[in-house]
Amino acid sequence: MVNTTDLDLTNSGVEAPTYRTSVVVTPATSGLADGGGGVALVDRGDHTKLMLRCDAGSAAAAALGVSFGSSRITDSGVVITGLRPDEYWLIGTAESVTGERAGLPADGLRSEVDLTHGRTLIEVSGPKATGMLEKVCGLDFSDAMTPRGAATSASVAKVSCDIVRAGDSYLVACDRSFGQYLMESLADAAREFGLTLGD
Amino acid sequence: MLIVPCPHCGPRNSSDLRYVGESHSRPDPNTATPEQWRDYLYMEDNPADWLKETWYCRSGCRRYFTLERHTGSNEFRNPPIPGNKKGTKA
Ligand SMILES: [Zn+2]
Repeated sequence: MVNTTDLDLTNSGVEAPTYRTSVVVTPATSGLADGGGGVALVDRGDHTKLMLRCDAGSAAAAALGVSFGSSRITDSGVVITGLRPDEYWLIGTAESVTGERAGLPADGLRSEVDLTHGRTLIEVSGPKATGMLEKVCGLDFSDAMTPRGAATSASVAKVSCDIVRAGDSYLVACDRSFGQYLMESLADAAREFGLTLGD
Repeated sequence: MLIVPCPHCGPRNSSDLRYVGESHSRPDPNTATPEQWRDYLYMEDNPADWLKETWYCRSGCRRYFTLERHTGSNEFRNPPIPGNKKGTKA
């Protein structure tokens, strides 16, 4: 078991490697983008993604303030989400995630792993985002089944992905080795709706 | 597509899960004969009837669970019990 109380993400003495995205926009992808704006895809891989494992009912879980299947956005802009029954993710800028982490009690906190460099994160937004996702994922994305704040995991274009409906966007995360493929698959699925790439 | 009722994620396509196999109780490795151990590892009952199975929700909650499926109708029954790994009793 990791002694979480001794971990300091900001000052570990080891310089954090510069994030290198796994998503390279190739002509094959950019050629699909017509700027139509029905679906917008943005590579958010450089967002810090901190995974915490907590005991259910512990002070740490309570402080996170979300249960399995839900998420919230903090005042500092961090998405805190319960992706699996005892697994929570903090997604945001390095500074804001570190700030949220620092405020958590140690009770019940079992492990924490910085997945920033291991996971690709793609932000899907736009008025046709739901329709595009339903082409490549078996989930029901209706408001009744996947309301704002919903967090789940499922196969997206045959890749195991974590999906968070955060605000007006969907955050889709997968192992970085599949990142390029996922971006190209989503771009291809978005083509009929009018695709915009980038910020 | 077979729809599997995951106790955490709800109904999911079976392609989101991995079929682990029939749930058998694990013999004591200290006393089991090689025949008993081979039966445990490799032999399946394969009935045309209700069958207790272990599933792994690989694209969802990443949990193992046990449930019962009728191998003739593919109907599921009994609330699945979370946390069971292959070979443990339900
Ligand atoms: Zn599941």
